[in-house]
Amino acid sequence: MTSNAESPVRNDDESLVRRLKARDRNALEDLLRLHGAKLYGVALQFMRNENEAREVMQDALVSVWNKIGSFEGKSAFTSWLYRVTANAALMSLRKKKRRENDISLDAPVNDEDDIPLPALRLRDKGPSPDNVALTDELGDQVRAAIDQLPEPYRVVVLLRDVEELPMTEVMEATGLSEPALKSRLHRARLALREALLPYLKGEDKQTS
Amino acid sequence: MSIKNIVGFFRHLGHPCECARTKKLLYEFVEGELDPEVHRKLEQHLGDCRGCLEYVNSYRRTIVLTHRHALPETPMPAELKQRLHDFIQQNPNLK
Repeated sequence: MTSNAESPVRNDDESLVRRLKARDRNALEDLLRLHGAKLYGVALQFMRNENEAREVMQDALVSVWNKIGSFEGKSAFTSWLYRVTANAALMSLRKKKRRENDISLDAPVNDEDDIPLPALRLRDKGPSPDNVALTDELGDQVRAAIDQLPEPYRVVVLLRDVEELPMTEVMEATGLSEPALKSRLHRARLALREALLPYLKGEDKQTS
Repeated sequence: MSIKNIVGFFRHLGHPCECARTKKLLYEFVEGELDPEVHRKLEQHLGDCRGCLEYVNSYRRTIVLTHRHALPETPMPAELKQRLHDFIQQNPNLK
């Protein structure tokens, strides 16, 4: 993307931030118009459930409204928005876990007793006719593989490798110790690698 | 076949101990968390062992692909747009 193509977006974002800080409620509507599809994608990837993703969107809007004062412009506004939405999703997942009295995201883990991670199975889509189709298919398969990860693994991959949060923030968000987080993240990456192996070779050809 | 080629052939097969070590240290290597001397030795092994080099590269590419493709834009359904519009206009917490 060229810088000319990016600048209007940046201007829109600067205006949005100013209006949100001035408590202009309609700025939230414009925020949804500009970034809603991406934020909904974040919410869906975490929750894997449309109804729950919709709740997360509402929670994220409230968080944006309440926390906009802390946005200093050190990172891109979009990155900040994704992070706020991811945090809203994470809070929702934790509440859900507490309700279900299931495996806690806070549960201490180590290499021996970590949560089982079954092999991920991707649908064979056959050969792709061109590079565009290959890219589309690759994206579909990456998302399908992430989608199959059990939730505790999916969450650390999304926070660390997708949102690129610092390790300390992921530890804080998940309640995991550093060794447990590293172990879980590494196992998740290995599972994704195994599932995506045929496409990793394709990516090699594309990028070389 | 020359001696040089034969040595090269066996170097590409890798050393089992070094290959096991590479897998064990993979996460720390990719994250740049290894002691510099250990990191240097592992890099040296990757120069000699095609299998380990491909393994490490595929791990790195997995991280790149995950970051690049994980989050597609997903158009919000009309019902959700309306719901969020109502939420924004009516929610007392948004003052």
